Amino acid sequence: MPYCVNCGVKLDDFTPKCPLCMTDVFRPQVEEKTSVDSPFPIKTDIPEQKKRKYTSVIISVLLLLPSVVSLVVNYLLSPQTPWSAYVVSTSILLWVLFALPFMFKKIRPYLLIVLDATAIAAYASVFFVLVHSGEWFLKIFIPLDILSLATGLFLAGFFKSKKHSKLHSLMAIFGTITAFSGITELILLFTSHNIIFDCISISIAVTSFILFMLLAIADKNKHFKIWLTKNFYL
Amino acid sequence: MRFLDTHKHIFNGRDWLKLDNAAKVFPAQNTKTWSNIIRYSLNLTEEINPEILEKALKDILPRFPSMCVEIKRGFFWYYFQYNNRTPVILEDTRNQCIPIKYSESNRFLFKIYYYKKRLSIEAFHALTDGYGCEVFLNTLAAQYLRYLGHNISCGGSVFDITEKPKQCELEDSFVKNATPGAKASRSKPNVYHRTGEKQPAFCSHIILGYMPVDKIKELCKKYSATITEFFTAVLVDIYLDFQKREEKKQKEISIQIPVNSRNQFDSQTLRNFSVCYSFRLDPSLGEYTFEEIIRQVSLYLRYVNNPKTLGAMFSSNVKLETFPLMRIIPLVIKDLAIGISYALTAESTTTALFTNLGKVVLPPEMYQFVESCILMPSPGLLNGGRMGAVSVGNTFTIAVANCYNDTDIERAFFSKLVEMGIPVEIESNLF
Repeated sequence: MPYCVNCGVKLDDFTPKCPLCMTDVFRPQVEEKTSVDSPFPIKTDIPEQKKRKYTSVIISVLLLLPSVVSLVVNYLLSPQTPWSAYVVSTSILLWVLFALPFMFKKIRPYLLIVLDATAIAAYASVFFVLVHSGEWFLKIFIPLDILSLATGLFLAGFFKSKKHSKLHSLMAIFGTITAFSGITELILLFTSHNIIFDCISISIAVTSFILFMLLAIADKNKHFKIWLTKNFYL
Repeated sequence: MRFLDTHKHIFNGRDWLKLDNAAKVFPAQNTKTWSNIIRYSLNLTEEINPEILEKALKDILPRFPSMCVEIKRGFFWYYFQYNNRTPVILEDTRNQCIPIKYSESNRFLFKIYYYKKRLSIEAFHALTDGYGCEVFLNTLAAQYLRYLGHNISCGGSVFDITEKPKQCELEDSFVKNATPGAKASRSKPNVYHRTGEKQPAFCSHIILGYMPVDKIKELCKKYSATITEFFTAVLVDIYLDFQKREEKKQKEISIQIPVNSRNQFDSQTLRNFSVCYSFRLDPSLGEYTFEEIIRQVSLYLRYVNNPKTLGAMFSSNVKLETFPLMRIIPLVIKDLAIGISYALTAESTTTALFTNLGKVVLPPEMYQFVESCILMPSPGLLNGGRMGAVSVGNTFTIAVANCYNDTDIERAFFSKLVEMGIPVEIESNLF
């Protein structure tokens, strides 16, 4: 039996390298052993995973049923009011959010975020067209939807680019929340004068900004960072 | 109905069984690609004949009613339903301890594997622990050897299959031995983890190290430690070294050590009856020599491993199970809560696992047919080195299941043993 010259462990007759340090094993006087002599079988058992597409099909069928039923009932009983449009558009939105991701073999965050934002805008447009109530759709909803899309794409890009430390990840999240709430505040300031909305977005922006600054200080200040990591396991 | 006629008294006249207290968490921990599986193997001296093995398996099954079950979902809890099909015997594979697909195992929670001279059992931890697997496989191997014409008696971990199964073998010993009112602390800090690039789903590196027991005992004697204490200390030492080299914040090292509680209580159960101690060492307290580490491990294990502490640990778990609110929560929510709790607290609070099944006791005439035994825990989701140890005769085996590509933990561990004068023979599934 050979020994690894690096680790000093005894190896089986078959192995071409030491499994611990990958040092090649030379056995000039011993006949080459075949894989049949391996202490472990060659065959691997990779269970077939439940196909993601099946989940997608089940969700699609579940969403299709109420849509079809409501369309038929709407057409037969009250064709003058298109109330089934709400049911159908809700089903389409839910399908894009929950069934579509399962149709891809690999998760595609950018594409899914764009599709989600588009579906949400389309869903809101149905209400806008059917209700005809004010300019909220163009002035508030569309800018907020675009802002959400940009935020989602930024976060997806940030987390996909490389592995970040917990501290930097938290900073990115709080920074994004600050920016999102701040811009939302500006949009609302120019379009609506609802005091409740103002309070919510300002308080979220201020809180997340304070947390962002605390983490930024922690990132620069060694002693504070140690205290923080010790106490919060960051 | 073979079961109802012969085992009525065991299952209290019913055809179903409650999961034991420890087993209740395992089904909820399962993911698509991971399950808590225990693997126990025997390396025999002759190649295994699967047809004879099947006969032997059919013979021993009635002696182990706790193994003849399938798992079912109730509204509030999972439960075991008696399964009168025949378990499957399969040719072994390179990737081991993968989740059991019940549709392929005739609904059993275990599978029997053979490869050349190696006979193995892989069981879902909800069914039994390492001891249960040991007794079942050793009894199977003994019956198999009898079919080959060898005269094998019963004794040690080989059960008499002509004997009726005992009620006490199916008891939930956690409930029976819990100390009412006693509390054990559950708080565990986050600890150091040696991570890396993960292996593909359902794959893991397996490295087996065979060592002579006498050499290990000599070394343990030198340090006045038991075998478990010695190997735990080696593991702590290498993790301390890894962490120091990473030059990051020095976190605690925590080694999870499952302990067979049957040694402390009068229990003969073949279901789960092991609990985990976590030995922790804080590197911020200063540098540790190997002698200091081994002393710390010895003191800790000898201090905690007693019926009082164990009783309190059982009590904490049993209390959670019997808490009225917990009982009325539907299983779907329980599963979700346990799954989240497992993800947040289980492996993230341990650096590695070292489980030692101890010395396998066989009938005297069986030793000549068994070269070695192997105990392997399933590879972790986060922990790289999860080690299982067991000895038979003069062969001590350590199996390491690693979910990462790097084998630096194994290299450091076995190289250290070689440096200390223990000859190690390595086998792996890498090539």
